[in-house]
Amino acid sequence: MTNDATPAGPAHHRPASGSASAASPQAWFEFLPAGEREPAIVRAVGDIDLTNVGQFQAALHQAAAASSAITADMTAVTYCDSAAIRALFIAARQAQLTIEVSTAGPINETLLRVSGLDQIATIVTPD
Amino acid sequence: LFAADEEVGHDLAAVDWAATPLGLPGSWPQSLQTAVDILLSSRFSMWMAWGAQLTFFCNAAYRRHTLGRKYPWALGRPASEVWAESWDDIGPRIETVLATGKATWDEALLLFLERSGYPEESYHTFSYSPLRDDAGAVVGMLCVVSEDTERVIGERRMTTLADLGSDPSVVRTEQETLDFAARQLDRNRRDLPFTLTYLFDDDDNGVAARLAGSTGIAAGHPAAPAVLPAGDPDPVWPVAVLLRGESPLVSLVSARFAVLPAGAWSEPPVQALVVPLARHGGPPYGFLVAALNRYRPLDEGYRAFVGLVTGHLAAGIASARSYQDQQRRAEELAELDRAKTTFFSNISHEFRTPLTLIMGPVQELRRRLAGADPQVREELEVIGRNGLRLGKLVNMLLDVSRIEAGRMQASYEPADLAQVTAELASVFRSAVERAGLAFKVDCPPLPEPVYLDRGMWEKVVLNLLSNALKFTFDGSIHIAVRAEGGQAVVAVADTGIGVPAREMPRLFERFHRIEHTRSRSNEGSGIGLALVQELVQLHGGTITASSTEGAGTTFTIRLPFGHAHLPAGTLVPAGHAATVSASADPFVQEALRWLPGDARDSGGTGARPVPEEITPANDTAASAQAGRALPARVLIADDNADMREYLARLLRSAGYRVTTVTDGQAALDAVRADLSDLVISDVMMPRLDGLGLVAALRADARTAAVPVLLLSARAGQEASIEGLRAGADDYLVKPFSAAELLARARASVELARFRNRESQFRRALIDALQEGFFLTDEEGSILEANQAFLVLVGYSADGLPFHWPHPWVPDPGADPDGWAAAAQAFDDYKRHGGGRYTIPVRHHDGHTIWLACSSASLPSPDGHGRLFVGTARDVTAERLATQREATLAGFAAALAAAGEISEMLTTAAREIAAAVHARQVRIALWSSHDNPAIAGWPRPAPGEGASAAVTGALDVVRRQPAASVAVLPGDEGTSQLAAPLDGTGSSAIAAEFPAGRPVSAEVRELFSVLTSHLAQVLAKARDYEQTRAVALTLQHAILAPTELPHGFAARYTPAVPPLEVGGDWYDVIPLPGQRTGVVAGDCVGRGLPAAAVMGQLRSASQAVLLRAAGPAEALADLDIFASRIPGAECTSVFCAILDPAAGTVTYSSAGHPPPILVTAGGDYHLLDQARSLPLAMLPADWRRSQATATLPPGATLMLYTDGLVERRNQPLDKGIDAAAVTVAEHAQDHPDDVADHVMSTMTPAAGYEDDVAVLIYRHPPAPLAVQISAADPSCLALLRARLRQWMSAAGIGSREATDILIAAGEAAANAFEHATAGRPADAAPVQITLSARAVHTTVQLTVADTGSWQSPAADRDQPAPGTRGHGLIFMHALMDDVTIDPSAHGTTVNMTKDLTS
Repeated sequence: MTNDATPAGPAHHRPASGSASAASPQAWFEFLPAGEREPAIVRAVGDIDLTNVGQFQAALHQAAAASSAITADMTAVTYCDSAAIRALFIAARQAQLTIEVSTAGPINETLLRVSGLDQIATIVTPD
Repeated sequence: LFAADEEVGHDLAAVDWAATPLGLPGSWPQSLQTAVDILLSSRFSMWMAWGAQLTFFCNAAYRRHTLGRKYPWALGRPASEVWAESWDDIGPRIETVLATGKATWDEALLLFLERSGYPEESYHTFSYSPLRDDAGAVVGMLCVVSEDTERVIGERRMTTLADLGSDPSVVRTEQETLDFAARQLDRNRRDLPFTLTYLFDDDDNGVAARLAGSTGIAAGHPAAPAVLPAGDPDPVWPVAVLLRGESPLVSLVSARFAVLPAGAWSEPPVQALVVPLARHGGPPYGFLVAALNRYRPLDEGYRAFVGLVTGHLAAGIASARSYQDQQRRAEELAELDRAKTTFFSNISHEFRTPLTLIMGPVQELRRRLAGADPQVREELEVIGRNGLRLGKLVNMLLDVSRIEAGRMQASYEPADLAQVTAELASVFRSAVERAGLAFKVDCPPLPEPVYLDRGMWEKVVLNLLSNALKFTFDGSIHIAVRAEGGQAVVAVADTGIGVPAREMPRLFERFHRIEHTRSRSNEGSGIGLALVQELVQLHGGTITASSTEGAGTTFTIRLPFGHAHLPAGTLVPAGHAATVSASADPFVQEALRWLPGDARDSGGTGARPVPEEITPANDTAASAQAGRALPARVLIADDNADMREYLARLLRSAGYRVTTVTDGQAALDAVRADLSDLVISDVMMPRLDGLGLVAALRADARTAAVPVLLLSARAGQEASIEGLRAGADDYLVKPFSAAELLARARASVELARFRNRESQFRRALIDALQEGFFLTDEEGSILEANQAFLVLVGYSADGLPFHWPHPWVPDPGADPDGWAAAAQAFDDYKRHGGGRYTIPVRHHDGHTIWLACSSASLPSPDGHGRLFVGTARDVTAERLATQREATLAGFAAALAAAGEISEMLTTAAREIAAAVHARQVRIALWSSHDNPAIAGWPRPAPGEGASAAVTGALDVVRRQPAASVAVLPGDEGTSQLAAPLDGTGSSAIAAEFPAGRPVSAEVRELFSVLTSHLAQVLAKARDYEQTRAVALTLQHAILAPTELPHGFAARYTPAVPPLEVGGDWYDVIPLPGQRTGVVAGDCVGRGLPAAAVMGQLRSASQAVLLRAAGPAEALADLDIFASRIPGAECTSVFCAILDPAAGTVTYSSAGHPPPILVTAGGDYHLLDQARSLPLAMLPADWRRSQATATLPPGATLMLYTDGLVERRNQPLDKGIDAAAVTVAEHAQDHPDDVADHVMSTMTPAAGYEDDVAVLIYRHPPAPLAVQISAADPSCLALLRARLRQWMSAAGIGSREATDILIAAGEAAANAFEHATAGRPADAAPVQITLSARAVHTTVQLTVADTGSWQSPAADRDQPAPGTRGHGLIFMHALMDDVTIDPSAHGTTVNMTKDLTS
């Protein structure tokens, strides 16, 4: 993943919410449009829960509108519940979806299998 | 006063104290009395000195360990007298203590002690501390000492043994092995002041020994003679005893040894242990003389050390010799192969000449005796048939040897393969049908031409058909041609007896015949199929065979279309209409004779081609044979046709053989091509006249002696003188009479013959030389050369003289190095007038050979300038051998540098590919299953196997005997060399060569040498890896568990690399009633011996804990156990039983450092009750006790061994404190993190010196309870943060923690929805409560809210993807037990996670 280079015009949503409690790990989403790179990438960092799943979904939607194939980079996600899984399901209906997950992260094999996400998206484990 | 120790006290009391400066004990100051009492009551080894003379006291431990035979003499004497031998070392130290009042510390100080009757090398770690009198003045000193001699010497010897085993190269010669070993032994001149290694050699008088290595002693020393001759009645070293396998101890105190070197010591050794280098199942290889350290006793350890050194040397020699043997065997095989080829080549040539002289007359006789007696005719037929057969065999052998030598000359022309093949087949039709077999020829036209050497292709098809007929008794023979996969395919199939499967791999092997099979004839040389394969390969094709025994055999030939695969320069235009040459006849004749009722009797010669005379076309020797018997040959040169005819008629009638030409130039060419006995030439002719002809003939050494008779119309003295001066032998003026001409001709011939007799003799002599011989002038032109030389360079005598640069000198463009070498040699030759030089020569057929030439100058016979005679010898083989050696040396070095097996195989493949110019090299290793692991060069991609042909080749050769090499067809017309890499079928190597490049004998040989080296190296490397794997497995078997129950973390660091075990251990043992036993222990010593004891104690502690009522009883049981295991005494052990339900730990300590207990708040204390002595050290009436401590929620308990906290010059308490503070700082962290922090914080700058074991237990923390308001969703993050923190403190693993976190998050998120859905706006805010508790090995989680439950709407089991409802499913999937209790006042979700699964 090339997330260290900041391409021209990415849409940043950070932090997740102005009113987020100090106890919440900082969470943000960034959308790197498909320019030189194909597909477009949505990178999520931190905990995704009720308070910020809307922004996650918005970033995914923005990506799906711009590109027929999108990659959700979830390798830096530290918490993720069914709401986020639902957002990924919706994105998979709009575009061809690849999900990058880390083996030690919250989106583990159980979650993928139980939700059926592994049947509608390509799961990649970069590490 | 001396009551503290009865025995030493008794002896102290016996001292005549009045004679010492201290006076009677009753008068001693209190401080001295106290010091003596402390001394005597201590179990540590101590001595002290008091007063002006430093009067000596010691206790029982010191007496036992150090003082030895000086007791009780030493008591009460001045210390300087007691330790006179080491006073230089210790005196100044004591003075320092007395002067400064500060203690000294010395570690492992070398002291020579005379305690056992000789000065003994010993090492001591000791501290001298001041003793003060009642007034506080320093008046004496106390020495606490522990002896390190065993450890220091043991480590020193281990280092030497480890050095010996550290040889990085895998294969060495015997001398290299010994040299390496010598360098290592030389580094330990303390234990081995000098060594000598002798090897036995058998000589005529018996066994002699020669010096093969030495350390610490100069060559030529009287103790180190280079040879111990056989039969010496009194050798320097006792050879006879050693040959019997004994290891004598030899005294070195003898005049014959003169002054011996002393090694690391000041005095020379007095004894040497001489040990045979044992050979498995045979007499020793030799022996090692190990001079012994005079300052150490030759105890069991010392003997074992010398024994291990000797064993290592013997193993090294065995390995080197076995390698040499293998190497020699491979070379002998190659040499045999070469000799065989040469032999067949020579013998075949020799056969052809007599065969010609048999077959010619036989054909003539058959013609002449056509009407003779049938019996005579029959016998002639027999001679003729067998002559043909012999001729066929000889031709085949010649072909094979030509191919073998890479000298087969092929001419490929575009041909209609189908037509050519069909025609060849038709020759066999009558024979096949006569045999009662069906003959199917299926040869439709092909789309493109195939380039064939017609002669070779005939041999291929005829051999295969002949073979099919020979082994087929019923059914049919089928020959078919087709195009397939871009190649032309020719298949010859029969329904014969087939080939047994086990014979298939050797089918194409030369001289291999399948024995005991039914066939039409028992004749056969076993080279037919080998020849066919070679010929097909020359065409860039492949041949394969498939066969079913009893059902038939099919040979399939694949040839590429076009000519891209053929060497340029071998192509010729299409020849004339195809006809079957005479070479078919021997095949058909032979086949017919196999059939019942001899076909020859039917007399149908008209149907068959008439057999032709076997005439080796280029065999000039054949015509030369007849030379003497034939009449003289006369060459007539005249431009007048009438004159030519007249002269010819005249001379023929007189019995001469006459040739005529029309001018001088033609005459010169004719004579050069074939020497005449006489040249009769007109003077006046076009192009070159008679005088010019004479001059040219005389100028050429070869033709200078040919007599010339000039004819001229010009009469007169001058003309005749001119002619004679030019060198003519006679001169005849036209007109001349016939009688006169004949008389002159006869005289010239006879004179010339007489004159030439000497030169002919010389020529015969030169031609008889085995070496090449040549004659050159000063310009380097070769004027004359013998047959051997011409054969060497491949040029015929027609080309003489050869001017510089000779046609065989390498081309400067194509081979600059070769050209430079030749030019350099030529310059030297011109400057020095001959000499010796070795030059590359490009043989006429293109291959390069190396000639060693030697030449010397002599005056020219005509007096002008000088000539050079030289000899030339083919040294190609020697040069190749030298290059091979160099290649092998480079190969061995490259392999030695490679580390693991896989890296080594890649290196080997790369080196072999480069050495033999292979396209790729593949190596297969078979383990238990069928698919081998493939390595190679170029590197195979991950998971890439080998192609079918390569796999096939590897599989074929893996079962062959070691050191055999097979040539096999590869993919797409390539060829392969393959060889096994061991004798067990578990590895093989194959090299693939580009299409159309036949594999030469040299390449095959080089491949064989390299692969047999690789086989050696591989075998050794595999052995090593296996041994290492076994060692690791055994170590892991005695190591502590790495999979610990929930809540535990452990760290273990052994002190002695590369060992993974040591004397320390920890253990966690699940006990009934949800209790857990924990143990930490520390055996005496380090390294493998300590680990072996540790393994036994660890097993024992598990057993006793399961059985015993409590820790004290468990330790008491261990006491009994330890007393029976050598080396287990004095082991320190801490043993405890954790009861999480009761929140207690019950423990007992056997001399072990106290564990640290830290509360969740960071307070700590030590478990330092119930302490007692180490294992098996308890006096008989002592009992072990136990104590119980409370485990507060979230407490951390750390067990450890002293390596963690013990530091030199620092009290133990300080280290324990430091460790406790570190644990306290991380009292809330996950146990794994605590363990990491402790290990890194406590690591000394130079790393841990001793084994370290650490075991950490986290008692379950107090339950978690958090309440948040559902009004603010951001509180969810707070909830998760608290839960994360709690789970870490509870020691829950990260995977389980993630599952729990998500399940809790889902439940809480659900609660939020309850709070917002369908609630009246004025209702009280919903509260969400999360509680978590750790119970034994489970976590119980409760999420409760005060809202109303949202029904999960029937999607509990299988929600449509992407819809709401995954939350509940996740909870069920991630947790082990989930119950939901909805009610009107709120919902409670209870979930349990089992941490053991």
